[in-house]
Amino acid sequence: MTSMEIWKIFEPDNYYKSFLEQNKRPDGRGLVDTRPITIKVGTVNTAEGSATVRIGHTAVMCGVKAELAKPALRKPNEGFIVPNVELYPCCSPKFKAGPPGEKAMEASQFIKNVIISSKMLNLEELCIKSNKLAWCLYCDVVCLNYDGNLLDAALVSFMAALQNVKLPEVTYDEETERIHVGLDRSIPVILKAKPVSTTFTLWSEEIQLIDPTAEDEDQGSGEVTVVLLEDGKMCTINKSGGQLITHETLDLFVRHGKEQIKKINDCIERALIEQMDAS
Amino acid sequence: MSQHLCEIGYLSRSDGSSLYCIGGTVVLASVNGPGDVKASNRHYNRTQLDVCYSPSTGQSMIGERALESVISKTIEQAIIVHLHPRTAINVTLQEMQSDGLALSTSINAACLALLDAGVQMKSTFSAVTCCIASSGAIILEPTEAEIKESSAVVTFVFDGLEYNVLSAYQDGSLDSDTFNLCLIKCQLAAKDITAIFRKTIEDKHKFDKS
Amino acid sequence: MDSDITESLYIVLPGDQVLRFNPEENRDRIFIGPGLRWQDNVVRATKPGMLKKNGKNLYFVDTHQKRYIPQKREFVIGIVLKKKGDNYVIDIGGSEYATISYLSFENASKKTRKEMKPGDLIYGQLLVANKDMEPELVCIDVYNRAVGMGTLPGDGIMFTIPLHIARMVVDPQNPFLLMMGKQINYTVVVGFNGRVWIKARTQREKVAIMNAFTMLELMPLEEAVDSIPMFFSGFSVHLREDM
Repeated sequence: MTSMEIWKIFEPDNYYKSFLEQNKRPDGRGLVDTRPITIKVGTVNTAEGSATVRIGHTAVMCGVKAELAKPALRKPNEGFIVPNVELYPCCSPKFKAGPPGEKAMEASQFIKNVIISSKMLNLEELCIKSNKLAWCLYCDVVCLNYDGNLLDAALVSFMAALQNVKLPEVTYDEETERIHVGLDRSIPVILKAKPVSTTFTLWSEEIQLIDPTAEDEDQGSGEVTVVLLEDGKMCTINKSGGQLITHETLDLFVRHGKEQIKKINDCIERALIEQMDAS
Repeated sequence: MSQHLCEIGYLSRSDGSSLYCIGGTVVLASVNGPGDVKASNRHYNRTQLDVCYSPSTGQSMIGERALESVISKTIEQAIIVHLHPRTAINVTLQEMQSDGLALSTSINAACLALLDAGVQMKSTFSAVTCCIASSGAIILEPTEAEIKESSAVVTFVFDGLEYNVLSAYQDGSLDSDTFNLCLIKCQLAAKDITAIFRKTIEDKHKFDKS
Repeated sequence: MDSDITESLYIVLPGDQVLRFNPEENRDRIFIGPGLRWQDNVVRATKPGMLKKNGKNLYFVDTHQKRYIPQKREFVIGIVLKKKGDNYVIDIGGSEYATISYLSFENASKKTRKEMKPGDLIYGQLLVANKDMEPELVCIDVYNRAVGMGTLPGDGIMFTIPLHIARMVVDPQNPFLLMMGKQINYTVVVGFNGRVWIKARTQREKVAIMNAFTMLELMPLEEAVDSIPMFFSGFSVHLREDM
């Protein structure tokens, strides 16, 4: 074991602090550098849409399964979208098997909030026949390897998978009540907005780290996630507890977030084109 | 601002309790602790904080659990957790009447209940919700009907010292200028809430010789 | 200034700045008691309550709370839960159970050991109380004398009151207990953990004493003391009849 490793075990706080004093992180990044991101869409053949996203060592997979369902009585003209984030023990020893933990629930709720706040989907377009038939999109996000920044990875994979969705044509015969499902999957889901999230870990009043790793998250005192739409409008902000932040810091986060928007959306775009070329 | 009403020591058996009401939303908070904790939640260096929120109608679903998580992370920053290792502080929140402000009322109720219980804290904290009406006006502490009509709802939690942001929670989209405007408006309202806390505590200590 | 006099300053909330204190600049020493902490050369409150100061520059916050946090040297009333080896496990109302050795009683030895049943009440002093260790009780002082400590007889009754009321009534300057003593004959033991044990001749008298204690929560001390004679007027008649 090298002396650095020993130092890390015995004095994790000082070890980490010594990096930050040099404006670096243990993985070599600066404080405002993000990790490389790779996106692959169509990774699950059996799903209507899917994507695998890697942000550094964090790997997240999202599959969208479409099912036909009867619309809810209260909203007869609307389909459904059900996001769900799963954190299995295989992605990190932090998570236990069994019912979804706090972190998984928080992530599910986060995606749900983004869908509602950004108005990205017109749920009425998912309806096939009012009060009779509608699509229900189950979006399952599974974390394969957890190394921090779950919310960003989950949202990117969710967005990529949703843009990858191809639904078959469905016709509903009102007289015979028969459902006919077309053979080829061709209809995409139309998205009205493409929100992008950026997460920061708060370490001290002056130091905030963009795109935190699991180690950054452990050392820091809380995360702030800023979700922006393509035009730079704020969609959701998620700051639960953590170090106090001032007005100016929030502004700074929004500025960094704006830089991310184009980068991430272009990345998804490229992945989609790549997949189209391949098939 | 809507009318704020509060009462502390509402429950006789718990260590600290409060009833907090903003407009038509009423939340009853009860704090127990620092007390015994089961072995799986026992931390060698700090207090375990358990928050349990139940809505006025229906069962606690994923939305309520997310609310719990926001509340518990907020409270965890305010209380000094390392003073009582291997203990737990239980915060139980019961919404008694619902009118759209569950989050901010719960947080304010929790703060008062913690003050009533005498749990050691770095500072008080107060939550304010505002929403952007379709006309673009900012409504402080809206009703449920106003929230339904609005384009965005933002809840801020401020500390009681410098009124910096402890937590922020937003639904719906808005541009950053409006966001900043909301922040400033809520900051002002938070000062009033802290004043209410102070008055309530002064009232509790009215028999102390001064 | 007389060092015994404690003056009440004002009500503080957690986070309120009490005073600035820089040990390198300020010559005179101050002491910070419970409910205050010193950070970045500022003393801030951590509990809500009345800020008090005594003549020796000791600052502290007097909080109203119900949950007991064990403190060394405080006298408490505990409930015996079970026997564990050479120790008894005692509930003193804190977050952890306290222990007491069977040798920590007056005149106890290995041969004449103290036997207690679960449910017995004991009045003892905390020998060990800190956040990292299990609290330990003793029923003897440094000279091995009981000085009033030990098990409490079974014919009394125990009830709980908020901690600040308990601290208030044990103050020797406080006329409350003495005033009650003028009205009826009773025995009282007050623990700092908010537990009070009383013994009086009849059940009615016990209930009356319990109610008198609750009075303290609802009105200022002077008013409570003034109303004691009226409160017990029915009983003093009985007293005279008995005689």
